[in-house]
Amino acid sequence: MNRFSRRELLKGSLALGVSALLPGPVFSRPAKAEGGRPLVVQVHGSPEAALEILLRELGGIERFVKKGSTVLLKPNMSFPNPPEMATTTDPRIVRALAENCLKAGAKRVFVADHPLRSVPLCLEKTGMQEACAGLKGVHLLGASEEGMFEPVPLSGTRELKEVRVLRALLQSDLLINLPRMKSHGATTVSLGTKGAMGLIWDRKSFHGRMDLDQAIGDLNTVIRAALTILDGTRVLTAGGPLGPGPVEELGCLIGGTDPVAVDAVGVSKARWYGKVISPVEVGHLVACHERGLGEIDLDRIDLVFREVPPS
Amino acid sequence: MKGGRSSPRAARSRAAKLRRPIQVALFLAFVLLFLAMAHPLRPAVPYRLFLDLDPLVALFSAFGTRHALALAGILLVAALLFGRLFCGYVCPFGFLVDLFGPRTRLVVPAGQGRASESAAIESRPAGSKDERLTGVATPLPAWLDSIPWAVLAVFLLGWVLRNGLPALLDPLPHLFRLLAIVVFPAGVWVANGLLNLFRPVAEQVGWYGVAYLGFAQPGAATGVASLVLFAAFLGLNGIAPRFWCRFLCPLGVLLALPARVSWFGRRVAPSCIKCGRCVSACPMGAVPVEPIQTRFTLCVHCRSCQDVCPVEAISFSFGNGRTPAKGKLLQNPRRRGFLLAAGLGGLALLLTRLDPRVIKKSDRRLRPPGAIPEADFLAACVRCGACLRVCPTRTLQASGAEGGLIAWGTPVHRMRTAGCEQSCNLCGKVCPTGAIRELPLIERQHAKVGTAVLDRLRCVAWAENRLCLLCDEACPYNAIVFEVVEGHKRPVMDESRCNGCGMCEAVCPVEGEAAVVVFPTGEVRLKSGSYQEALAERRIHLEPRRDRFGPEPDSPSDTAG
Repeated sequence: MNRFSRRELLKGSLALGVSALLPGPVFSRPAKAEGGRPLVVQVHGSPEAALEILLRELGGIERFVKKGSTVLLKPNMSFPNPPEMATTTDPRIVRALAENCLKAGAKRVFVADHPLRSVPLCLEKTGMQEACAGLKGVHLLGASEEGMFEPVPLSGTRELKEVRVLRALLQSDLLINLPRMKSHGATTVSLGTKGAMGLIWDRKSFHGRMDLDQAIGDLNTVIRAALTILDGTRVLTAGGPLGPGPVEELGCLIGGTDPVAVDAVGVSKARWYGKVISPVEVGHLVACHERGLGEIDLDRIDLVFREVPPS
Repeated sequence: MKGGRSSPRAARSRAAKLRRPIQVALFLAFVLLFLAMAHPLRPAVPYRLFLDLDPLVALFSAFGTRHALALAGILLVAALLFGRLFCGYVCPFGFLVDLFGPRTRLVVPAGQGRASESAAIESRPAGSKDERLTGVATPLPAWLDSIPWAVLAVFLLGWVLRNGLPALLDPLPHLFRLLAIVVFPAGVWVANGLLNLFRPVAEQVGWYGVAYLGFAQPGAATGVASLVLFAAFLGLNGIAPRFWCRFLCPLGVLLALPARVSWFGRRVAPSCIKCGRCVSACPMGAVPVEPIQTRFTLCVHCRSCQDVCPVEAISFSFGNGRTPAKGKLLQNPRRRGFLLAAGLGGLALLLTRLDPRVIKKSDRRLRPPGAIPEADFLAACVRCGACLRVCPTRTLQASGAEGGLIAWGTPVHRMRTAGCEQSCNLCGKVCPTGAIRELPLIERQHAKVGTAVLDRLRCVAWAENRLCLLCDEACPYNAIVFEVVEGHKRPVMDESRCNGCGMCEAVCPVEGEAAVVVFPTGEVRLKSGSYQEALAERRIHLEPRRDRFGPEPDSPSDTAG
């Protein structure tokens, strides 16, 4: 695990401070709960009902989605796998959240990802196509061409100096991250902060040339979700990100505005690769936390449990 | 052709007028079926229609696993009734030959050069502006007449020698392949380029479907050679119109056999003044010097003769007056030409089979899942490129001569381009001969293509301690998993779980050749029977490794990808 030197940290924070002042839709600031402690909500029950409760607990969808705004929902639809394999986001949640955004007055909702495999197959087999069908104002986008991305220069970052970001994100007012909770060989888990890699063009260099964890940290300084909701209905606890692997029926959604805190809670909710893992053992979460992107310490996070009442 | 209308009196028959629209419509149908041949295939659409129609394709399907002979039979029966009507009206390749053919050339039937030339010129009315008669007459050598039969013989020899290479000359697979590896790749490149230009505009006006539309770029391996071959075939029009159709087309000569006795065809009334215009006008050289006769082996019913006849003596009907050209099919010296051409062709085919790379099976080609055993495969594959067209990831590309000339144009995996999608079995569905078996998904996943080999010296996780594991991430069968070695997560390979899908090779971030490469080692090629059983016998298990991932049962899935 590489640690920042003090000077690097200083330089990084400075650059972050500057970058936070810059306008642009990528740089949406994470909202904090009252008192500075991030709030994370965990709701058990059927996905659609759980989503309603989760949004209510976080202040309602209207808190995030302004009338006439453009929202980008970023589910995981990287692989042409059915949702039962727990490698892609449950399409029911995607549809329910898109409907919520439209109800709150969103002008348009992008449901976008940069799949790792054949785009038409991914859109079909994940069930996303069906889920988004018939929703007016909802655009399902599977990126496949470099021309769909726009280079964004990064300053003060350690590994990543420039990144090609999905243009739909640059045109959005709000990013809602909707990852599937799953394991990942290289990064232990793949949750919200790791999911940011689904909005950029070149990912091979993250693995082949850069320090993967630090590069994810860098990336999250520019791709910042206002709201992260983990799909914990079924969790792929090993064999990720593609599977197949053991699937745990966790039956919940975990959401909040602090992307690191949400991920940290997510890490603590399952046994990954057969063992309990602490958020500070997850390199890219530490890298994000060190960049001031959110709270990693579970003791400093307000965690609220809710359950869908039996009908 | 319109420019060549000689006589205002000779009204064109309805069939002659309809011929070009019919050709265009069927050519478009051919192209549309090609374009439509993509995921998801609908059962109701006859994607392979033109390939299934081809009796030569049916011939090679004898070595494959698909024996749909019904449509091919229809074509032969049709030729028995109507002669080579197919060539003049249906064949999309013939349409192109027509389209790019010369319009104003004096045509001389083979072997009748001088005589008919003088006949034609003599018959030319003084001061005529007939463009058809203004060309330079080059008598075609007599031995050319033996070439079609030599082509047919080479085809049959290829069949006997279990060598599918002659299928490169079969016009329907030829054109399909040309679309697949020349026109389509170039078209996709242009389309993506135009889309890239248009994306910002499309976003502004809210056409997100267009802004985020992209097509996987197909490869154009062997495309240049195919283009040159095609251009050469069209270029032969410079020697004589429809040169390809007359002398080289194997399908044409096959249809010529039943066409010899065809029922419906050209009839010439006794009112014929023997002016010889039809002799010159026929692009196929189907009218001998004696214009009352017809070479039914060549006539494609284009009715050029009818158009130019000044006395309207020519009709196309079932009626009496059928007068085939006299003489045997092969007379000396044509018989000698035939033996020479067929002999050389057959010898060439034999030599491609005797290539050391073929004998020793020493090349590294990876065949699509479900490809039948190599000897049968080389015999059954007509190189139509349907599998290349339909492959959603474009991992399938046409093979060059690296596996021997006999394998030219056959499909091979280029795993560095993309892995083989495990939830896809389309290549087997579109193969017209069953050189690739049509398999249910679970069987197709067990059709082992090869085995991945991990080179630890080149792997960045082993050689540079990098946190990579992209191969582990991509492997659908957990044949590559990570282990912590010397404090670093590194990929390790379990060959007994690998089906050679190549996902690992595709994603490996090492520059140039990947650090993990699929070799044909351990490939399973069956002409019949279950791949699942075959893998079980070989102790290969394409299931997740429960032992490593705790006690949880695995999710049921038929895609496993």
